[in-house]
Amino acid sequence: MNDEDFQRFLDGELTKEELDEKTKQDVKIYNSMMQVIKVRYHYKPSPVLEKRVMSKIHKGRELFSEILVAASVVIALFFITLNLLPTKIPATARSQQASVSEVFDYLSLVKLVGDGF
Amino acid sequence: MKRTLILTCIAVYTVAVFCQSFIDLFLTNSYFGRRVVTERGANNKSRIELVYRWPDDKIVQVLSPLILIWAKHSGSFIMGEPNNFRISPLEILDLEDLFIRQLKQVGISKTERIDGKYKVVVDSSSGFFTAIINDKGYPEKITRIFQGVTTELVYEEVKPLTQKFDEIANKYNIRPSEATISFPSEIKEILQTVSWYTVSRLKIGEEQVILIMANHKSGSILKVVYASKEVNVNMEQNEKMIQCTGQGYHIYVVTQDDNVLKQIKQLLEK
Repeated sequence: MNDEDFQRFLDGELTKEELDEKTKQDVKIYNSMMQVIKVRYHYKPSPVLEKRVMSKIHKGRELFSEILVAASVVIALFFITLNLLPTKIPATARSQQASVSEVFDYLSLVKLVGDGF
Repeated sequence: MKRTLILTCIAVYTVAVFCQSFIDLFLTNSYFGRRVVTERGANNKSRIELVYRWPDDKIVQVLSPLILIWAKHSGSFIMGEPNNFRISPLEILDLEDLFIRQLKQVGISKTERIDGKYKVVVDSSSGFFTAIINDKGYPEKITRIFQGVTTELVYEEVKPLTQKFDEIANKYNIRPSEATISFPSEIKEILQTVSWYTVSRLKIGEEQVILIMANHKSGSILKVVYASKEVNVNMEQNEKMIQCTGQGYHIYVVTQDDNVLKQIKQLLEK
């Protein structure tokens, strides 16, 4: 193939008749190849494949949203449990707020069953 | 003369060794007994109790004037009734414990042998103690005379105790408890400096308060007022007072002794 003629043909400087036989053959192969590339470039999947792919994407999204909902429920339950169940903090505070009666009863009891310190 | 001196030394040494052995037995014995405790003085009181005693632990079932169980285990105290035991913030010490404490701290002042038993006298600032201990090392009677009050503990029956603490604790359903009786830590600190106290209720204005009259270990008198609201505590001319405010309560400590006041102040500032 005459490379220079081939380039000049593609640039429109030469006509097909001015090319030698070998270059004419190569131009033909080039045109066929470009046709194939053009078809591939404008690729559109078949309806079956498109449905299968879209179904996979939807399944992934559904799984993600299910995990998200489950996690939200667990976190909500965790916070509800923490706020509803009694913790040791109020008990400690209560021990510091012994009523006059409680202190009197306890001291009287220790005094009754003990004999001093 | 020399022979007399040597014989005297041998006799004294023998008596000392003999005395030591029954005291050791008394301190290390485990026994079960029924006893009666009486206190005579400004107020009279008495108790009837069943006692399980190990060298470091104790379970006491008070039968009269009320039914209550208290126990000392691993240095902590619990009290209550089966299935409802709580940790006692204060130490519970009976006359036997107080006698042992003074015996260890001050030592024996005098020992006598009467009718095959030993009379041990401990003269301490916490009282004049007399104990009758038999030759097996079991106590029969302990008496304390302190500031005009005589406390007497008489064992009616003492038997050797072969069971372990856990076995007897199971019998009384004594379980390790996390619940502690509500009690202000400041009063606990103050009561650790006293050897004796009385407790009464009174009204200051409209407020119901507790008055604790205590004998400080130094011999001084200490008054402690516990109130849920701020109150005006009347003082005598020589008395001084410190006030401590807790979460929902007020404590007033009144004494004439500057050193005692200083000690209490330091304790409360901890």
